[in-house]
Amino acid sequence: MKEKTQVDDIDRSLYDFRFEDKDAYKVKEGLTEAIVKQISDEKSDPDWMREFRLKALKIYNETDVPDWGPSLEGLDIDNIVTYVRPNTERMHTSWEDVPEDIKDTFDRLGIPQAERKSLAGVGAQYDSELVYHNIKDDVAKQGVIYTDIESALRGEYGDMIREHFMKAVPPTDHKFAALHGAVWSGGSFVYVPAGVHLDIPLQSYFRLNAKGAGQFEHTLIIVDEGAYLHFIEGCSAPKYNVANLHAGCVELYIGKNATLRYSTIENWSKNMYNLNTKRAIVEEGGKIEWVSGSFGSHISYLYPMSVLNGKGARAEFTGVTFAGEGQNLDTGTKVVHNAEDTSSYINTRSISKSGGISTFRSSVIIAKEAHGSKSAVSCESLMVDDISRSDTIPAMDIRCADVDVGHEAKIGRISDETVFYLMSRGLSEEEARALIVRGFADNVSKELPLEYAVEMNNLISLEMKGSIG
Amino acid sequence: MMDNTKNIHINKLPVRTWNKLKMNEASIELGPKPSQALYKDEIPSGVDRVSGKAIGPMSDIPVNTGLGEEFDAYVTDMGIKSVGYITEDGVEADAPLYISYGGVRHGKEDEPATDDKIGLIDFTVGEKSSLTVIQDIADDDSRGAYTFVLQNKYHIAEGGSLTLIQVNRLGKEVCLCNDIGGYVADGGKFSLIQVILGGGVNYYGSNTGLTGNGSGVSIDVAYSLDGEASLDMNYVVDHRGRNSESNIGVSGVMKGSSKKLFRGTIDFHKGCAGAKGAEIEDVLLIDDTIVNQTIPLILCDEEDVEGSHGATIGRLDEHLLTYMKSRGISEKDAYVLMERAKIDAVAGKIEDDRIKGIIRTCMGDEPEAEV
Repeated sequence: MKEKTQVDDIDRSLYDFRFEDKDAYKVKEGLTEAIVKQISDEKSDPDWMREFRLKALKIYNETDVPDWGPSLEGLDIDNIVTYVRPNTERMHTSWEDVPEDIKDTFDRLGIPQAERKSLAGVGAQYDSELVYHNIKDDVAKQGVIYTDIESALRGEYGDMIREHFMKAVPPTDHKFAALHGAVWSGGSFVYVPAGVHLDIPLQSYFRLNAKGAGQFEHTLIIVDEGAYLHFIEGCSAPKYNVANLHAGCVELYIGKNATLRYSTIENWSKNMYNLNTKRAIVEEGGKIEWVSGSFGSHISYLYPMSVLNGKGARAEFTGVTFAGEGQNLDTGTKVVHNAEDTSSYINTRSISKSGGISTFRSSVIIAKEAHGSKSAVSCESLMVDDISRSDTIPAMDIRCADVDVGHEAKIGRISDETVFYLMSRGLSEEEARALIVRGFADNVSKELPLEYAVEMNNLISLEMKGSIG
Repeated sequence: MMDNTKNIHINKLPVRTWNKLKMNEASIELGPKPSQALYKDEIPSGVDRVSGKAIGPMSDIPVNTGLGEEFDAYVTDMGIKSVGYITEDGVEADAPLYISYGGVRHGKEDEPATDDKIGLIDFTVGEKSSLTVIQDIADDDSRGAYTFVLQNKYHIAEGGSLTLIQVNRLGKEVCLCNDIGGYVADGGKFSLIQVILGGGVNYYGSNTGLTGNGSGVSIDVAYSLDGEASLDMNYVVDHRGRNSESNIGVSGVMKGSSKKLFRGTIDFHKGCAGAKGAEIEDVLLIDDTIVNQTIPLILCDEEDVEGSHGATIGRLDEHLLTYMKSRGISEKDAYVLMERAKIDAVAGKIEDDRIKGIIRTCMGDEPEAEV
């Protein structure tokens, strides 16, 4: 009789600590015009932003919940607190000034250490507010702006933000984009001037500590002509027995011949509804590189989108999704080819175990004008046991003849022969299987900076840890 | 005058995706009273024709079809009797069952008839029996615009084999709803070969239930679309039996302002351990006014399976084109050759010379002289 590997649930103790939020300021649960106005007052929004929020609320109320994808029945907006301000008055530029419990949180997550060792700048958001933001002097001297988006909105970059805010992702895009538009809070603004090449990355880390709360940060990045930036985004939360919601929004504007690499290791807790929206607009000769690892959350709808508007613009998406017990992770990507000679390359891996459900969902659209465009999609899925599920739903819509589009998908299990071979070389079955899964996901880990690749591999090893029965 | 047409949703994806893509389903308006489609059949020995449902052994199990539940309900509501063909156990039909819709007139010879028509057929293939069916779906261009509803249902018993060959050479004003569904028992095999050279608006759907262990299905589709023609497809294979196998191959050429949507689903249900499924799509695009949509799904609720999908969409490969030019073949002729090659690759799987000759004629060849 063939033996099965029993896989334990992940040990998330590294991320699963929490602090009391008794001193935090919160709005009431639910979503009303009064709450939206209250948030706007808290933020001292300019008039246009206040109007924008109220219009977005109207769109939210008029838009249906998606009739595709994982069930959102367990998410009731009437039970979600849309704004939680931690017990600190303002954003800090020194870790020493950050309140002790919040500093302790980011210490445990290794953010200050990473900043010292390998980052050009760091932003740290706790619940609805950024609590720390800093950028290295030599980077700032090159004209790079990395700051919290709210102070930027009210300051000298106000016009630039108004010009770009929710233009790539309008509130009409879907119900949760509208929700974001109504209650967004916190997030980062980055501007990299023309020709500036940042050799080391910037990072923003988002931590949601409050029970039953939502996090709605907005990230706006503009990479000007010929510039280069690697931006890293991390996120986590402790687990509660009620639903938490993340409906952030990321808007990326990549100028002529500029390149942006946007890396994410998402490790939300398993009570989280992760309904995040990310979109990049790429001009002539520009390039967006998405590197995405999805490990956490209860339900995910996550499809970073690349809109290739300029001739020769390029998009790469490299992703891995690991769905374990109690998780239904619907992830993938979208690409729209709007101009000549654009190209896209999508390479994803999905892993399902312990009853987890992973779905790869994608769309590649090639418009009439996109002569000479190319697209290649490769998605592979691995079933680790017989109680999990994996689906692949790739769509292609091509309206131009002079193109080259290729797609390949594979689904299967861990080969017994490979496990046997590795065991014959001295590995235990558990080690052999973990090694195979890490190798399966190396499309992502090899694209990440070393520290993050190690973190990702540790996550996979933890997921695979279990007894052999 | 009251409009009695019925709007129904067909070719639904088993799992929905973004509505903005408009790929989740198609909708169609169907008339209230289509007439029974006239046909000629040539029945080989070993095959019996019966009136009404032929699907006996599995009559208590509803057959899922590719066009879907709403379409099936519409067909049932029409109250048209199906024609059944049965092979007993252990029978190998000595020739194909030939069913022809071409040249059979509903009205007077010179009278354009635009009434919609419907043809319902059931096949039961007995244990270790083998049957090949050829359906020549044709009409006269002069008949004008109408909708032709064709539904084939089948049950293939243990070790049985059914090959269904369909050639569509309908007029450009005709709307064809071509619906297929059935079950395959242990060790049974269903082969579907479809050559689509006609019809203005075509809806094709097939749902194969591989309920038996070691059962299999192979689907080969070739199409050539031109002008305003459209083709909306939905092929579903439900793997339920252990070690069941499926292969779906769809290949075609798109010209003019033609539109095509290919939905292909391999669904591995729990318990189908050892199952394998593969889909391959190959589309040659000629003109910039085409609309080509593709959505191949693999749904997996079982660990011990292998599933794959591959698609190649676009113009001719540069290297191939260069090679052909170096052999004196112009670019235009190269595309004609490749279009022909795609049809021939599927037609080559047909063993019947008569229908192969009809396909060749449709492709512009001179009819072969009789000896």
